[in-house]
Amino acid sequence: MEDKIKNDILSVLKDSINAIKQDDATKLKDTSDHVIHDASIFQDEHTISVAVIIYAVAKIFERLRYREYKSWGIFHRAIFENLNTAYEALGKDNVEGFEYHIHKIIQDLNKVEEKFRKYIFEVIERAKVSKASRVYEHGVSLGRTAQLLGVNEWELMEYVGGTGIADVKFSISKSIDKRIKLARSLFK
Amino acid sequence: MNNVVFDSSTIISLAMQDLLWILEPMKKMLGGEFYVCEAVKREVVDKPLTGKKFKYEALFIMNMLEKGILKLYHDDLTVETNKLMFLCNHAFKAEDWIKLVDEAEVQSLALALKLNTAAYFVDERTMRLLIEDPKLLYALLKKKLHTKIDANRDNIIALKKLASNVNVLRSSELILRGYELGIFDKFIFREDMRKVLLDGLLWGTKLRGCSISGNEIDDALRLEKL
Repeated sequence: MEDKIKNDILSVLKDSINAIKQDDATKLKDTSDHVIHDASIFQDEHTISVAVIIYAVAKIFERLRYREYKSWGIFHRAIFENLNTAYEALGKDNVEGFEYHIHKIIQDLNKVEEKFRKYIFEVIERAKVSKASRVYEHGVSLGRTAQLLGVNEWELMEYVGGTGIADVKFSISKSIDKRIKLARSLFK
Repeated sequence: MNNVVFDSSTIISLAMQDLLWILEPMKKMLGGEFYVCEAVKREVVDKPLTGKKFKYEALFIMNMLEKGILKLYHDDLTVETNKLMFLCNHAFKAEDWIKLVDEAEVQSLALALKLNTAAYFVDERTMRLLIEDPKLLYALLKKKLHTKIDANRDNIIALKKLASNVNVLRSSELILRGYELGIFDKFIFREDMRKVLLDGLLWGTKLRGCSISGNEIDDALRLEKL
């Protein structure tokens, strides 16, 4: 793992662990955004996994009603303990240990009660699409982004359509007048 | 004969708006073929058929292929695709080369170049900027990535040279031209509904991922004197 990626992931994990201790969902969400630049440049699977998980955890923490589930404690422990251990492993350059504990989060989440588990995995899938739209916003193509985040292009297009990505000045490369002139010359 | 190539993003935004039906009349207006490459077919038919959400749309597209409204190009495009992939994914560098595009998008462009098509339809933004205005893409990357971006002039110039005759259009222009040719007239039951219709169609395509801005939509309505 490149040093820059490692250091950025360590910083994000540290901030995320503190945010979880403080029960601060907003801080968690902001933290997941910090790695999006790296995800867009390096397109590294570790960076992407961390960004998605942290964002998903933030969304779950936001919804206070989830804390009423009996297995909220199991969920909290799965996230907190595995992120902590992943952080410690990566700090010692143990990339395998880091990967193991990031993947273990998903395995441990399978132990929560069925209804809560269903919501968690839906949130994780939506988090992938949300983070994918951020990578697209950064300039990576839709197809490449979909491939990186493991989402399908259909869902990603549906999502990005609702953002303001197409409205930024960098998105306009030719006037619609010129485009329709061409269309008129072709379709008669 | 004028032929055009469709990228998956254009077909997807038409499909999600239930507007795939316009391809048949528009093909007649073109008098040529609507080509798609194998990688696009995988994205718009094969993949959604394995899921639940877009299965119906995939079947509709399959039907268009069966009927010949969309024509699948079968010949090998590996050499051309790999060359273009290299240029696109070695155009800009941060700490490492930024892999901007994937195979399906580039394969569509390779097909457009091979067949020297009259237009290349792509609704997503990055491919369009790479072809039409790489300086704008460079500015976008610099702004969004908050890091030094190096542009490889040789690769960008080589790409620009290869794609110099590529005319990019989007589903929005296909719909706009279709509107001008009257294919949506059956939905206009009062003249004052024209603006509502066109506005709805273009916003529909934008909200389903076509990279068209709100200002461009306003310009389109002004063009049509609405």
